[in-house]
Amino acid sequence: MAVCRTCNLDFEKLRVELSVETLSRENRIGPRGLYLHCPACGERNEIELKPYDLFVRGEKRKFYRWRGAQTKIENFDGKCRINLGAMTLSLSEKLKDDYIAGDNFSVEQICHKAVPVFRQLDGSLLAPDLPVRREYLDLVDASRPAQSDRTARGGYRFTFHLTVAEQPVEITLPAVPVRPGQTPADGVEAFDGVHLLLWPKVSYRAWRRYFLRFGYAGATAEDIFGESREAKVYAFAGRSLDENERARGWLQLDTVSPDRRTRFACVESRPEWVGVEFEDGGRGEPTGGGLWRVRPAADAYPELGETNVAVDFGTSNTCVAWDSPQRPSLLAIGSCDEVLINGASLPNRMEHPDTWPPRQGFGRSQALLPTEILTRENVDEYRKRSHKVSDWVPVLDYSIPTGGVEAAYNEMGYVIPDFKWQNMIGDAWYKNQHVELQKKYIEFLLLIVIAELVTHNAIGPSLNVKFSYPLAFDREMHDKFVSVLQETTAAVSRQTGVNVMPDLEGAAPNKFIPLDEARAAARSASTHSNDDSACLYVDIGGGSTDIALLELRGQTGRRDSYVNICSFEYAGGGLAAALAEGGCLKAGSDISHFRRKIREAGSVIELMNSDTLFSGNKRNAITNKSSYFYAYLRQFLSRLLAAHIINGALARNGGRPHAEAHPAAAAPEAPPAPTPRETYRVLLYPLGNGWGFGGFIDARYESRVFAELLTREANLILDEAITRQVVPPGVPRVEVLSQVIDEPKQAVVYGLLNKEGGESLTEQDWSWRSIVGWTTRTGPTQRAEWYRPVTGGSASAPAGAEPVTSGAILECRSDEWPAFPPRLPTPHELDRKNELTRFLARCSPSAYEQSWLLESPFHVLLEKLFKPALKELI
Amino acid sequence: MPCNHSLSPDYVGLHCIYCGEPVARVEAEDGQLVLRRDQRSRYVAVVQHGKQKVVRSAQVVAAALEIEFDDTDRGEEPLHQVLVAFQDPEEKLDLRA
Repeated sequence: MAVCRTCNLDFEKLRVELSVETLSRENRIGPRGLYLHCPACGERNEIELKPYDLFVRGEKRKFYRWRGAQTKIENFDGKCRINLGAMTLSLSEKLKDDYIAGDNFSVEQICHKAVPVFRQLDGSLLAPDLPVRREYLDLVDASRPAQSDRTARGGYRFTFHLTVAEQPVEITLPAVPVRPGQTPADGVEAFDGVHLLLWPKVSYRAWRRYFLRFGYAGATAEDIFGESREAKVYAFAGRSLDENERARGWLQLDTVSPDRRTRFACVESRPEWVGVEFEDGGRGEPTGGGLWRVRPAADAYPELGETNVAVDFGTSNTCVAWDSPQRPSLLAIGSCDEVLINGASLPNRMEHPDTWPPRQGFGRSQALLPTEILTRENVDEYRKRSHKVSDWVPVLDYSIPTGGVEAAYNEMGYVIPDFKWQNMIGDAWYKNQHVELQKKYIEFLLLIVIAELVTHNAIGPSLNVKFSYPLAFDREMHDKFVSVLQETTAAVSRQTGVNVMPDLEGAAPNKFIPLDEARAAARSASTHSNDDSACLYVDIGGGSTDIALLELRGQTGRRDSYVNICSFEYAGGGLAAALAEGGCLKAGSDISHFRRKIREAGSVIELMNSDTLFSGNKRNAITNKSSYFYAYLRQFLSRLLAAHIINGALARNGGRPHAEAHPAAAAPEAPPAPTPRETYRVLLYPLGNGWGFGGFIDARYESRVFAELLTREANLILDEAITRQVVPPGVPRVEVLSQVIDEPKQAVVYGLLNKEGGESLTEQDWSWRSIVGWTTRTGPTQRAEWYRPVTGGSASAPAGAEPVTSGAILECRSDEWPAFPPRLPTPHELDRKNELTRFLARCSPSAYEQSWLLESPFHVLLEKLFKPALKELI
Repeated sequence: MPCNHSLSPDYVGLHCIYCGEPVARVEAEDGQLVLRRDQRSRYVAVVQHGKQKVVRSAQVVAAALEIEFDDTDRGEEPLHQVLVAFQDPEEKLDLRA
């Protein structure tokens, strides 16, 4: 058994006494045996101790002898001796405890006294795979199968192999009593209502970040988490993503829910084992426990072609689509749990925030996730402890709210919304960390997305992710957002082993430029005929409304061209806030509850008819506020369309109104016959969930009513333009036709995945273009007419327009045309504090070289006057 | 380089069991094999078929001891057998046939 591998010298035949102290000091004691040199040939050999029923373990390499072993540890003459044939290991008796840990070691010493057994939902009993205590797991030979079975007397017999013994060991243990001192009625000791989950369910060995959850849902929680008993759960896994820190150890699930019934952990390698231990009576020593083996992940990512996903990171909701084999599809969010103990389903009614990964998306396709962060503790607690967002860990500190549950607690204290826009965050501490909030959200979102793609077998070693951004982002916000995306994709790459790459959208090398939301939405919705003149895409989101006006020129042989692309922070979130803050909700409902209900509702009418959300006597107010909301937006759109027609006519006159180019002739004796006018057909694509509030007004609001009103209002403006001789009488009239889309939220993500969208369009040398919107005084006599364009990146006045002096004080006078429709409060009626001039300052050119408005005054009216006023308007 | 490990006086190895350094050598003397370590010597007689043979020379080659006898015979014995013989109280090495 101890033979030199070179010259076959049998160490056991040698009469030699070896000093254990010398062996230890010279590191000649290894994990499996002794390193000795052959006395004959000098070659180094490892003499295994297992055949002698001895083993060493621990950092100090202490000796253990199995009980019943033929090899003895004898004490005489002041020395301890271990005979290995004629060879002897010896040490002073005084040093025995330093080198010998167990002289009579047995399997009972490495096992718990009892094992917990869990009853699963299908009635089966689940005992541990091993009864071994965590600290002795290193002695177990996990490469060889272990067996367990229930005995006739209700105990559990385990047979398993150890690395330090030749023969398998066997032990029979009782189950941990569910209620100490009480025999269960059916005679079976088993805990009900327990779940142990691992997220996500993947079989790819490169995946590193996992979450664990051990918890209880049911009526007998005291059996597990009572005052006299404590359950502790551990996972054998890695704690760091750092390549230099790959060591594994026992990590406790020590993040505890407020009711103490659920424990969580985040680990950075796939757990190999999970240990559950029970301590009774506060003694600190386990009274029972066991280990469950976690199925190893052995697969490599399959070599698939390119997988692409698109993310619409909206203010209120986020939506993801992927290019599935058949066609682009919304990515439904579902549970990705791997169930290790299935004694209970997760609770559906939440008494407190549950920060487990979302198990269901919202909306009809369950493909929406709130753009909100759900914190495990009250948001104030993190501020009190200065626990910065940058240090937050998913599941332990935060998650994304899930659908399919009832939140029976005040969500307001645990939800952080609107972090897409720094100025929408009310809390100053979190406002300063809005970039970190974005990072945390997107990082966790991408992790969830990849886990979902795993369920579709649609993930390979790399993933392209396309993001959109609102045009309302200024340069700084845009650049920060790009930086967020680059950092989060890199982080998720490390966590999953997938090379996650933000997609470059035709930009310069090494420069990541996401696509703006207006163009993305326009790409996906484009069905028109030769009779159509333009497409108007209006994406009303939660925080911003994005608009694109696309002129169709195919029938003239030219490419289609964007005429306007613009965005402003006047959107559905503003109306929702106005309804909440305007007293339209029932007592006990707040904006967070409202948002959840909006997401869960199949239709707005369902919300209106629900008696749990809205105050019964506020229906008029709800309808009126919604009407005002759309009315102001429609005012902008009608001016936009009219401006498009007018600017087209002006272009033929060198930018000058018709009256200037064609002074009025002497009045004719008889009125001239009306000039026939062509119809300029505009297809309106109502995109985004913000259109849903139209259901409060009319069931066909977005499919018909809005378009009819827009047609009328645009043509009233054009008629006035003709009367004022700004344009000739023959300019086209507008007809707007609504093209309703089934799933409006999906337009942006489908547009991002559409590779063909940009090829039939002319390129433009501007990033956005809007209109002045309301004729603005720029000097004592100078004016910027409402129909003039305002273009991003252009500092020069358009042809025919009067230049604006740098620093000019801007003013929107009430007597400018076109006027608002009757009963729609005007800017001047709403500007009670006379702040409008101050608000408009940001539109004024700021540098000497600039001679035109930097922003649209009408955007300012929408964001600064109309949106805040919705709360008061009834 | 001589090792500083403490080996018992009756240790019969050619190499230190702790570090592998050479600590002894085997030679021929007075017709017998001698194991010399430090100032100590141990002798064994070489016997074949019950008769002692006179050793003229002995040389370690790889893991064996090559022996030349006076009667021009030659023999070879694995070193590990030689060492066992040196610790045997009978002080004799029985050659294999």
